[in-house]
Amino acid sequence: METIGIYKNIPLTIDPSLATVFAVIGWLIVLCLVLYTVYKWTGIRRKEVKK
Amino acid sequence: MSSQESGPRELWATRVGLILAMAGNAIGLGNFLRFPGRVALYGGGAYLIPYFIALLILGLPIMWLEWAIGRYGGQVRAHWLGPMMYMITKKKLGEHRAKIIAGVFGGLTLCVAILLNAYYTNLIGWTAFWAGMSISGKVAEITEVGQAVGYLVKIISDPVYNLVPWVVSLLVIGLVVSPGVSKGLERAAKVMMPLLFIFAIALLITSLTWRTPIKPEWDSIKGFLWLWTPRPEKLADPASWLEGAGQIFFTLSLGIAGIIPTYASYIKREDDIALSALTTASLNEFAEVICGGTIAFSLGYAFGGELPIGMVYVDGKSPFFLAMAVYPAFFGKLGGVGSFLGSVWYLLFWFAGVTSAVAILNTIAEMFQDLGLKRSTATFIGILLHFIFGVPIAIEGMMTVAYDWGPSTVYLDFTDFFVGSFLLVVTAFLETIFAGEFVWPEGYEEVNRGGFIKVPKWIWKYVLSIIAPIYLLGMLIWLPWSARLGKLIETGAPMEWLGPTLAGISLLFTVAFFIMGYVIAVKAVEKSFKGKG
Repeated sequence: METIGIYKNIPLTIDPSLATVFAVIGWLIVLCLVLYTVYKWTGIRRKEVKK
Repeated sequence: MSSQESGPRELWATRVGLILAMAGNAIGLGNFLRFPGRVALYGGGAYLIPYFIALLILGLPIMWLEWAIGRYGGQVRAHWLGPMMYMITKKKLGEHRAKIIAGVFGGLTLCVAILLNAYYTNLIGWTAFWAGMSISGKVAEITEVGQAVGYLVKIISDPVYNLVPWVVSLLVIGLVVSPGVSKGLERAAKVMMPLLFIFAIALLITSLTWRTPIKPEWDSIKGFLWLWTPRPEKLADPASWLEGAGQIFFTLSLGIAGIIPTYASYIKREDDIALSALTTASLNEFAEVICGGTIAFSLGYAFGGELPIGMVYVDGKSPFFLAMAVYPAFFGKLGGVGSFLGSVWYLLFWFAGVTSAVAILNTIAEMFQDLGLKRSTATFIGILLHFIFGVPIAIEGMMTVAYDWGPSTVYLDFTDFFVGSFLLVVTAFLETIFAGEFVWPEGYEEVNRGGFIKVPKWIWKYVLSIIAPIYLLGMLIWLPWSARLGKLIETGAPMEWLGPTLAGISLLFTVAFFIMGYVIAVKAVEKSFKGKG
């Protein structure tokens, strides 16, 4: 744990490794959703062009 | 609306236009301002647990449900939630009960629409103020968050700075809604939404790479890490779970006055809705978790140190208040280039807000149109109701600017909490009950008709119709124990009475709008659908 500042006597702390893990999980879930929809639309577009 | 007419009143011209307009409706100030504030207040990285659980169990299934309700309603010219729910429940529950259900949804639609849009358009007015500051180059005079906070206090406490941008924004929203929404909005969304994404990504990269613009110890990465450091003890507060679900509803526009069903009512009967709904949700989550979750506190710490973090985390200040003070310091530090970039950013930001507000006002216009009013008159009434409810937001700050705890945003914050954490949840709960598997089993076929992907049956049967209502009911039972409620309405000496009074006024308006909406729905149904199968 690391303190990055004190505001009104309350320390503001970070845990870099845990924070990174949680941020990566959040980003990954969202990116999976986005990539899945992009993949689906690309397939549909390709089929429509072929027709 | 006459009984001879069938098929939607308006139609989306293209698939891309529909998705971008729907995304424009969902992506707004909530993604860039409300979300990071909720993460900060309710557990940092640990907040992702209630947030993503709510997305999977509630967000996506209810999103599909609302698209299905809307497209179904559009075929019989039911363009807002009250008449839609009447048509959906009539077969199984009978005409009398269906009319009462329509009335309840009418009441919820009107009070959520007015309450939410009145304070939301105020916030859009604040972005208009910063757009003006950027265009005039004055933003370059601001180099630290503390200075920007000073300007923000000026906006909140001066009714001229507060009212003028708000009224102008309201008029613009009225001008877009009045002639009809699908064509004008669709064209604008095709240009503005991609620009909004490009700019948000550019700002995200800048916030993570321009790490120490003011002081070496104010490293933007530390601001980012502070936001995402899990504080699991916060999850013991029911408010974290309520706010997780509330944020999902708010950000995906679920339960918000039936704006998704209204937009979906302009879709052709055989067009895809399953993949389109999922795409809208994905775009929204990208803007929220990746862009919104990175930009606000990285820039906040880099330009203001512990002040922006402490204001939200310790003082419990509104994240809207905070983030409106963080971005100006960033643009101000860039000088002339910052003025230009700030102008573009705030105009796009303003547009993102306007597209969401347009969707809500469009629903109100549809409501009053069903009483036989012209669209322009219906829009004007909607604007007038926004104005009546929204004026206290504009003047509460002025009344309290002289006190240590002022200027007050109690009316705004209480309304935000009440709508976001309670009314949206109630609306969604009733939707899952009355449009779920047990009352409207045809909904499953409706969502998959013409679909490019297939929504699995188990999602509809178990998650949407059993787990989601139980989850939502749990949220509602938990609400009175929320630790945040008491803190929200606190004001200090010598005006301790002011906070509860402002919250009380907000509640009185809520009751009045509910009754008005109930009556409109019942009258609309009697006028348009009596005797129709």
